[in-house]
Amino acid sequence: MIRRKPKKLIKKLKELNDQQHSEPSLELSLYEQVVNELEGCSDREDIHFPELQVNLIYFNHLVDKDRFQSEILDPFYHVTKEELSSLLKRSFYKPVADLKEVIDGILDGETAIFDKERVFLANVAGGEKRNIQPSETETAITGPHEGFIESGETNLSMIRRRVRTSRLKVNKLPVGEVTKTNAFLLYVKGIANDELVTELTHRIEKIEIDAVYDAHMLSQLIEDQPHSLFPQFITRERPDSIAAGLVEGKIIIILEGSPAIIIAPSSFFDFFETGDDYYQRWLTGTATRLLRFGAFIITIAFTALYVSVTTFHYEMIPESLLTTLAVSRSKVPFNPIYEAFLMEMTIEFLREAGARLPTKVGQTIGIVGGIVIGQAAVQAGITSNVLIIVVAISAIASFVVPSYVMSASIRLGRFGLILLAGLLGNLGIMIGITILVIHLSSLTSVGAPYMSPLSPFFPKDWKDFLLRAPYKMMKTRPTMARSSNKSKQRND
Amino acid sequence: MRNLKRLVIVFSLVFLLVGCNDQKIIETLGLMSVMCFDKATDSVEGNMLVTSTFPSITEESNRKETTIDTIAFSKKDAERKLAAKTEQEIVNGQIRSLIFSEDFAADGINQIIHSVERDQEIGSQVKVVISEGEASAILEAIPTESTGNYVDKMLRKESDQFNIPYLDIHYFSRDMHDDGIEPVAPLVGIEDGEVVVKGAALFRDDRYVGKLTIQESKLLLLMRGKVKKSDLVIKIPQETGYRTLYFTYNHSKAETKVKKKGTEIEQVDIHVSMVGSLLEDTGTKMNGNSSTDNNEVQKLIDGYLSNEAVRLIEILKEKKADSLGIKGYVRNSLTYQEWKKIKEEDLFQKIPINVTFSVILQNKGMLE
Repeated sequence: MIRRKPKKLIKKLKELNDQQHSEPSLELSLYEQVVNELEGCSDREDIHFPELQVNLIYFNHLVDKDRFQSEILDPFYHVTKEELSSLLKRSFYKPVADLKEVIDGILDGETAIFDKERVFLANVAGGEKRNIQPSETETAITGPHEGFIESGETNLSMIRRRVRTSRLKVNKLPVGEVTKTNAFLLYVKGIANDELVTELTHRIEKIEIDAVYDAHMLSQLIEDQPHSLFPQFITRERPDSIAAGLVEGKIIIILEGSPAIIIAPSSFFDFFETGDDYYQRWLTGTATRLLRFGAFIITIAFTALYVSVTTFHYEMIPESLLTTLAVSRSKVPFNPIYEAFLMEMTIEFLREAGARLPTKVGQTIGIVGGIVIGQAAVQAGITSNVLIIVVAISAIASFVVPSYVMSASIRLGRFGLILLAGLLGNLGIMIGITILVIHLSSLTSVGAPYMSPLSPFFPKDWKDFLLRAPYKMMKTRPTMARSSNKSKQRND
Repeated sequence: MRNLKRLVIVFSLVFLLVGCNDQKIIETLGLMSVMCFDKATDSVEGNMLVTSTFPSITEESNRKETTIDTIAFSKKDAERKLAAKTEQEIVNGQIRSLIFSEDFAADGINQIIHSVERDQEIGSQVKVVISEGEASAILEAIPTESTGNYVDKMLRKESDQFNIPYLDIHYFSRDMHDDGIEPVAPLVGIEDGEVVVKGAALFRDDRYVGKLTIQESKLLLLMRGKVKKSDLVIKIPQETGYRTLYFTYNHSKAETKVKKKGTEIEQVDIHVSMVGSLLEDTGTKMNGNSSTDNNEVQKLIDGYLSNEAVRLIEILKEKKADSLGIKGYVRNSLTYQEWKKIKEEDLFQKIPINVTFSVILQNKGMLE
């Protein structure tokens, strides 16, 4: 978790920043001030045109080299001293007077042009970026395949191409005292709730932190309850999901440098939805969704149930199954709870190792893990066959949850439940689930209830909850978006 | 932050409860599936001989069944003594059958039924079973390695075919305490070294008083209420040998009416209506043309059942076992004061009972 810096320190930092900008004496020209400011930045480029008495300052790797050549260098090479002032009158050259503005412009990839006392910024920003590719964390089977990349502008363009309305508004909000990362807040005017827009803008502006690198980090900084186990904003990496969010009246936050994009407000159940649900037939979509909720219940409670049943509640199981369980556990020297923890930990080790390793080594880990877990542990009498099956099913089920962040939260919650089951049996599981339900129901996402539409009960929203109703039936926007324009289809 | 603190507090409160658990880890348990009660005479240690069987798992993960017995004063006393004889922790949560010998049950089984009903680990799947002869002999006669399961499945099958009365101990206990009806239980016995379901055991309160054959037991069930699917083999004497009819009925219900003159009970009528098919008839030649006359067969079955019913009621009256719940019907037709006045020991024997049948033959199998 990232700690916010104490306010005092941040104030000092700010003052220091301001001082750097304003302190230089009045005798120095703006050009000299900029040069001073960028002292020690050896990647800075400085070009002089002695006959024109013009200087250019820019970062070579932040500008689009072709455009820089054709739109800035070429004109200055060919222009005469007399023509210079008319050239600089073009709107392409934006006059600025403030040192801070000039520095910010240069850092954004613009070129600063110093003509005697006048300063202009010319935007030829560019530089290297990743190509648009399918998202790896949010793959699609049906539906569009392109995913967001780390460039905010590209991401914006993908969204604008899908939501082609002038009512799509974009607020640009810089975050991070040092990094000055741009966050873009998007909403469709007339559909999104204005109060939510104001609230989110306010929250982003209020962030006082040195740096924000990723949307997941940003979402933790603007969450309602940062200490909760569960993420309160969903992030998506596919433009179609984001467009759907915008049209539903939700607010989108893009962070420069992050391929994940925040949708606010989000409910707990949003984390179980994917684009595929909407592109498939509604019955198949519904079935898949039910499957995911089933997986959620299994992943959180199945191992705990095994522990509780084998430790306390033998009378719950049919006799024939009981014999199987007893036989498989007969050689195991540990209590069921230790046994379960051991295997769950092993699976977590495997998952974590597999996630970090390069693919080729990852395969080795898979094989080693498969043998260790699948056979050796049982043959050595460390664990029982049935537990292996239980743990494997829970692990598979945890990956059925589409959101990786949510899946990780659920897996952690599972450990708590296993502990309670080992201590108190089914009573423990009940206590655990009760705490979980109380906690989940108390969460909010920008003020909207996290468990909606289940609690509070919004019957209209149930058409897009456990089931994905046919499109003809889904006529209203979700209640949690608090949209001023509730209907999204003509009522025939 | 306050929420988090609260959560941590609640979560840690749970740890205060940890001492209150009673772990029962399955592989350490001796899961009793059946308990047999025999009478123990001339013993100072108790008045009942309790035999139980439970699986134990060997080092090689094989399942093996152990049978042990002990003499005790009560069921719980017996469990304790049985536990002392093995390394396993004896538990009764998987118990399916309580088998009582006739001798033992004749003295009353109230005490044991109570003990079972009180136990929070025992559910409703427990059956009260009476055995002809020694109860522990039943266990020895069963060929498989999982004795309890065998008895359970055998009785469940018979009960599903409406050959023997209900199995649920709660029903038994309810009927035992009800002053309008007496309980019944399945009866098993050993024939040629094999365990056989013999019929029904009759009770007066908690005492075993007599038994019925399977055929009689079926009739008893027919007269008691709804029967979903069962069959009857009906033997009618002819000049030479018997005419045998095989009648399967898939629907049967009984209606009981109390006829009164003022407050005087005149007669109790039981009317049983059955719908079914005739699948075998040795009295006709099986060629498609000469069809059996439906009415004739219906009358035959009717007459046979009525005769049998009279005989059954005689048996019940002789044993003073009101397994049909006649007293209950009488009670329900009266006010409580009236009922208190006429309620006496031999009420059941005094009331005339008239049973009528209406049999409807739906078809004669695939013949026509």
